Amino acid sequence: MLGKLIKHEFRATGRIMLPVLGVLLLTSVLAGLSIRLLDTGHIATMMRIVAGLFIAAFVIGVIAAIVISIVLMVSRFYRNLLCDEGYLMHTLPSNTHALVWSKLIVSLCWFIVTICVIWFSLFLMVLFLGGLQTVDFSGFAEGWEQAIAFLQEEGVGRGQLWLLLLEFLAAALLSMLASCLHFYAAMSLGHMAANRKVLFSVLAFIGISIAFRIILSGVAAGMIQSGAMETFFLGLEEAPGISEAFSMLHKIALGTLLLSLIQSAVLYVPTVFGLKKGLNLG
Amino acid sequence: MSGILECRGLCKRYGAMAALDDINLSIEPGRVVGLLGPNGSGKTTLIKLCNGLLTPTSGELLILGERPGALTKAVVSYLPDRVTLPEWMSARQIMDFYADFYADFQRDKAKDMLTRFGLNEQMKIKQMSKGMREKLQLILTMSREASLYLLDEPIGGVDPATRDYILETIIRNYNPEAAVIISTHLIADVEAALDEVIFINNGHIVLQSAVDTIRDEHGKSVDAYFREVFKC
Repeated sequence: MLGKLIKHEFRATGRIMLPVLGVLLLTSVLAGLSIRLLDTGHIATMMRIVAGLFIAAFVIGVIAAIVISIVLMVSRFYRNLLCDEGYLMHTLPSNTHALVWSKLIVSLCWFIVTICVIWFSLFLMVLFLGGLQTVDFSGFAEGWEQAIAFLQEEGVGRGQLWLLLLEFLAAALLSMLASCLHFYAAMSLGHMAANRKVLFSVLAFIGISIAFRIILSGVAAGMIQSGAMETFFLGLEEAPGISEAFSMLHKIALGTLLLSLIQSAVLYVPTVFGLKKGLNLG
Repeated sequence: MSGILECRGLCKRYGAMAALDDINLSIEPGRVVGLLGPNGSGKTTLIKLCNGLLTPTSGELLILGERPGALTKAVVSYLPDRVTLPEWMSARQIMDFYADFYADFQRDKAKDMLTRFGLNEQMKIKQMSKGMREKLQLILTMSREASLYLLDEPIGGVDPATRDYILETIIRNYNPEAAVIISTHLIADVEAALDEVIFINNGHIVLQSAVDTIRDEHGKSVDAYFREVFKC
């Protein structure tokens, strides 16, 4: 059932995200060509204005893609599960967990795709700016190998580097998951109210943010008092070596990962509870 | 326990207010039941509880022996009192959606009804009038071979000619082994289609009786008897 929900969620969101990302790629090409045109110097004022507009459109396109992916994540949960469409969705032969996970998985996928497309659009812009020959790809590979050789000399293996990258990637993914659940939990709790559901959702969002900040400050204060913070940042004041810095980055990645995991788990409970026990469709 | 739907001591409260209080009822297969009551009597609350859209405060509600959940939702076909279909979809896309999620969805039956109602498969829901959307929603509900049909105000917003057609559609298309519960306050329009009625008021069941019994014992139509019971 989760697979079918994901399929339909992609269908519902794809009709918005695919054109947005398509337009972004198109504007990146136009922006690349515009910069190239402006570089040539002697062009008409009108052409300058048009070229400037294309460059601005690309910048707006990047911002729009990020904003739309976030707005879509929030609005799909709200409209599809908490407004009239909720009558349809909550009476499907599925359970609440599958409904929530389908929204989470698809939102995360669009965030990842949006980030990748933004990177690709920058690449496209550079490509159309001066042609592929202007980008020295062998330089990138060479630099990477040199960095690895340097790290190996300092006692950091290739495997450790990949592991750290993987840890940061997982931490980034879990942070995105926690952010989605922050919105979902707030909306789910806010809609348990009989009236002014949107207002209560906003208040719940603010309440959750404050609660997490207080808890985090408490944990940090506890760590400082117990000396754990000193252990965590061991060697920082004494200009750490590469190996120590690597170990510290490893701890930061794992700490972020653990924090996001706890935050996600905590926020998942009110999200499901609100939809399961407190559902109050208008 | 032989009923498709069983309620025992079912209560639903919102704070101090009881929307439903100590509801006990049993609905047998093959019956078309009218859930009748004035506005705010608890009809929609009962139907929402049957669909798992609300959770009972106390008591028990069972559909084919199961509490509302994924299993019961697979055998209950529900028509809400409002249009709930995603506006961006076309009639064909919403049929694909139903076919994907409901194993008992009969696409041929739905297509046939679409033609009879004069609806175009390719038309987007947002382009449809309110009446067309209501018809489409009814078609989707009645195209399932469900065990229990829960129809909340199915004729509320349509003209009298369409009302007759909708009632005919309901009666002609429901699975004979299933039960149909029609919630409405337009009693005269549905009376001919009903086997049984449940009168509900202020969250209490006032009466559950066969339509013929009301006619025989009181010498009145259900509509006339309802007016007598709920006289202001």
